[in-house]
Amino acid sequence: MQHIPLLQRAFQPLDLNPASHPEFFKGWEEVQFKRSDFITESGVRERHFYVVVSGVQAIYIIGNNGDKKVIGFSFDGSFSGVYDSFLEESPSHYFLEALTPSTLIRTTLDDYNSWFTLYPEFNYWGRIVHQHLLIGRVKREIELITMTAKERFDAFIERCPAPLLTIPQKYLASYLNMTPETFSRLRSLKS
Amino acid sequence: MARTHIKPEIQIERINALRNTLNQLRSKENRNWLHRPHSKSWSAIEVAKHMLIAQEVYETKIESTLSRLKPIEGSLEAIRPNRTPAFLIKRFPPQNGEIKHKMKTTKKFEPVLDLTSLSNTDVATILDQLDSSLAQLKSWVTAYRTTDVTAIRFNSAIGAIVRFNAAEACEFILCHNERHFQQMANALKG
Repeated sequence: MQHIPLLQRAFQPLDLNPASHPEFFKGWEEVQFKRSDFITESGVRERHFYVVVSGVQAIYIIGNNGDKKVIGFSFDGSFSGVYDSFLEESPSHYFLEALTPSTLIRTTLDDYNSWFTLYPEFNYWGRIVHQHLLIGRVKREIELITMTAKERFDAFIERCPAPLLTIPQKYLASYLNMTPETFSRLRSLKS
Repeated sequence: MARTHIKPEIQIERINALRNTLNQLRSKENRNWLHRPHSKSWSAIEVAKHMLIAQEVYETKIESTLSRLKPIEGSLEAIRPNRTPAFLIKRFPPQNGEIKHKMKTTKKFEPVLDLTSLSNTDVATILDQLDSSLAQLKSWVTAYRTTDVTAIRFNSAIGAIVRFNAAEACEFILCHNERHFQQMANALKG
């Protein structure tokens, strides 16, 4: 298993190592995607839970008018996948697309569930991760409802991870619920 | 539903929806698949066979075209179909569960099956083939999505009077399938 440090960082605050958690480190497979490849398609069940080794991926839904509505991104070191489809074992409502050439490692639902049985400390990790997820989603919802386009742009740029600055602006604009033209104008004002 | 633009992601979403529907319909018994609702209408398995025949006609044309298209940076957002393909495509899909614009099927697209001798295995084989053909259609959409798809046109199944690019052909096949999935579901209801 060549991605031990990556997994150890991704699953902080747990102190994981192959000697104490052999089953956890066993069940990972490396996969590669070209730019524009779909990792998961809308209408197909998500069968994996991913950790990103490299690259940027976008998760989006197709709106009624056929436009992509970006819900979030994953990038180096973060978790990825269509989590609700994965847990509910139901078809995904979203697309997960590699926006840049991407390498990810992945595990299955059976393996994922087994961690919580084999290693009780994963319940602590689960609590922390889901708290962060919930708080992040609430913050984003509040930003979308209460902030102007410029405020949303400024807030995003302040916390924007470096890899996201390399992807096409239309994805960032969609994530911030603004047109690519508005995004471009705000970006030029900033620089 | 009328569409002014062809969007590959929407096509993929719709193909996946058809595959999920097919998977659900497979639980129906063999006699349901073989039953003709009226003496002149097709049984559900004949409808499935017709979809296979219709897609096969495009197989060589699309695959040969895809192999000659140039790759683009990133992926296509949307393709505006030409007037004639757009007209045909718009007429095909069922509207609110109803099949509009009845069309005559020419001889070469008619499913020739002896319903009295089809076994459970035969039915299962045709349904497996239909699922594979939907997977193939999806692979075409996935492939053209990263190419300059509008650069090459080819004759449709009815000849040079209608010429498609690969995106239009995939949309045509998909709309045709959506229409016949509705017919298949209706036939299974009896």
